[in-house]
Amino acid sequence: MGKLLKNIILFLIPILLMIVLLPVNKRFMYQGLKDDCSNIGIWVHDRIFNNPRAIDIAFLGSSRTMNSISDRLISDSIPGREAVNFGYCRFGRDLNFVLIKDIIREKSLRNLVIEVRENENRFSHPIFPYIAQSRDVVLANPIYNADLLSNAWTHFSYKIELTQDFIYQHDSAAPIRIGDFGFAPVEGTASSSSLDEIKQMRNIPKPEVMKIIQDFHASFARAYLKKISKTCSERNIDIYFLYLPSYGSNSDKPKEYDTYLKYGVVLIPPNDIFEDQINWYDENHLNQCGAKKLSIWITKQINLKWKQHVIN
Amino acid sequence: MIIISSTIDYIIGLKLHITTIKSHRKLLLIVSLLVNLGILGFFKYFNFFIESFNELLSIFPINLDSSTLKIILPIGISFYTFQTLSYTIDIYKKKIEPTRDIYSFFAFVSFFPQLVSGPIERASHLLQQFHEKKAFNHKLCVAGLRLMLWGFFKKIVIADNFGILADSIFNPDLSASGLTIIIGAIFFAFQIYADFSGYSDIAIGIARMFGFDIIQNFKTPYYAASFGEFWRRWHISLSTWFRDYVYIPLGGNKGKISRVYLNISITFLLSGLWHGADFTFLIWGGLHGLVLIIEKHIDIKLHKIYYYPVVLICVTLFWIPFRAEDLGHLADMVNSVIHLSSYSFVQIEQIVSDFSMIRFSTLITVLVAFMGVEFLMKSKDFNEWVGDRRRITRILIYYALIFAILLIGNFSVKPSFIYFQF
Repeated sequence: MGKLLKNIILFLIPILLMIVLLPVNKRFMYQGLKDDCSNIGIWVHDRIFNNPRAIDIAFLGSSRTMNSISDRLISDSIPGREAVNFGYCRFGRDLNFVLIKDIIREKSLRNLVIEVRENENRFSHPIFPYIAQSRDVVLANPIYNADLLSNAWTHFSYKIELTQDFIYQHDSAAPIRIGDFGFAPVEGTASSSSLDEIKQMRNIPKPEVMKIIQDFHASFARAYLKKISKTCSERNIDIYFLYLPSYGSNSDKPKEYDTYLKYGVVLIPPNDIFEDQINWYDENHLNQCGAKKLSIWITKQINLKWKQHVIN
Repeated sequence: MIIISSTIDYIIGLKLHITTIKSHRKLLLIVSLLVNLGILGFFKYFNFFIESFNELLSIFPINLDSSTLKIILPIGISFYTFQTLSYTIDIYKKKIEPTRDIYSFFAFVSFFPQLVSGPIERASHLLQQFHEKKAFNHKLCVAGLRLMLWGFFKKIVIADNFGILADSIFNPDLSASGLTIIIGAIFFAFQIYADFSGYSDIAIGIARMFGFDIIQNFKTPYYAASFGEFWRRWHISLSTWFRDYVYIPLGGNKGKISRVYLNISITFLLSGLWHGADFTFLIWGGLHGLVLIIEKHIDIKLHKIYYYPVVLICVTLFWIPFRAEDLGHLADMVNSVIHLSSYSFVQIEQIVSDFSMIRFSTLITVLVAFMGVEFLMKSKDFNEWVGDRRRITRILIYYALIFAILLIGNFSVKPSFIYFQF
């Protein structure tokens, strides 16, 4: 059996090496996300790599960030500073890591604002294997990364698909979104009754998860936060953690508050923004009105921190 | 379902062995047939019969509000039902003795490599293998890996690529022209062969790695020189099942010629129905039965080289009813095919262009190479054929297959096999 295994491994090594080292155009990788999240992937790529405008403040997070933070408003309010909202549908800490690596490769970032919620997600972001480098996919820690194998499969088969598209000149061009800002405002207000119902449901006490399990679940996010922090500290980038809870949340601060404090400043917006039903599009997303209030508040906070920074 | 069906057949098998009274033995066999075919009939054909009955009644002014059920087809039911049935019938016919080892029997029925889509095994061949002690066997393991590689190549490169083309053509919204449908039938012929024989190779390969021998299910069927030969090379485990448990018990080749034709017709109509609960499958089975009857009747003496294209063209065109979504879709397609005025290359050009012309040319090149290898293989399987080559040639063949999978294999389709639905 040993001989057979040895022969199989020797036979497969050149093929595996070829797949791992297969060079794929970064834009192709983002372009392949054309059917996802209103085709924002290609815009993210072009804003980082093709748009010559600076990125001083980057917002990373999910659709909550995308819908809640007006980067244009923040940029206009802070002269000489360019804020960009890189919110992308769904949640997963590893995507933040991939994006921050791409941003700092191209731009001189000064502040990074990362969305945090009541709890950390223990799963990989669905688009992580599509835009991450092979090294980041393969070397992800297997102990707490439940998606390691599926991510590796998705990543390498996607690379092969992109190579095939290149060879066969398959037209996979995505409609290109132009613009300097990523904020995607949503109009409309959630019905009061639906929000009340959700609040009631959230008030039902849930059994407490054992500490050891909580820690195990949080370890995926913690590991990526550590990596992000290391990458940022090497380039003197300040990290802010912006708390964006759901409507009717019982937590006044995130569960991983202490972890965030180790790496940066935690920004907890005032309750009146989140408690006022008029600010919500649905139970997870602020509408344009809520986004404006939140963006003004964030602008003040960033200005304040910068002033403090200058004084120090 | 599989547990119910297996338990009943296990018990009936033991009872059949100890019972000597003919009527009791017959009763036991009938119970087994009723239970197995009853379960299969309910899950697979209940809605079909209800719908057909309603349609029939709608011709007359009778309105019976018989509604259909939302039934989920248990995975592999058509395959394991036939496998357990053959076990009981073989014991009844005293061809085999029942096993007392319930674990072996359950393993025989639910053996994972071939549970979902066959090959349909016989107890006389597979069951006794569960009684043997298994140990790692280098030669069998290599043989299994070779077959799996060949199966994956067929599935990912040939089947999944032709599948995209065939799906575009057989999309009922397309209103395909006659020529498009004929080309679609050719694409589907390659798809279904590579898909099903690829699955069979993978199943046989996995089983062989574990030290089990499963029967070869395909022997280069598209090189068959007659319809009879085609059925000796296509889905061998099913066609031999129908031969042994339907055709021969009906009388087979014995008796009046009209009786033989009737036997052929019944066997092929049932074989069509086995594939799916739809009239399109019945038509497909019926057409195959019909050409076999014609072949038998006129006792064709044509030279192989002249008759071979006739067989290939008919077999390919017969895939049209098999692939049709329903009778209405089939009628539309037949209408297009018989109207020569609708023959145009425009649709095909568009479909190939959407697929990518370079990819299509590469696919055709790979297909030619594949059919060439199939021709050289004759009745051997891939393991035997490649095993006869020199070591360096073998390694080059393995690399060629893997590179073909990587360069032209389709990774974007949902992993599924056509015969999973049966």
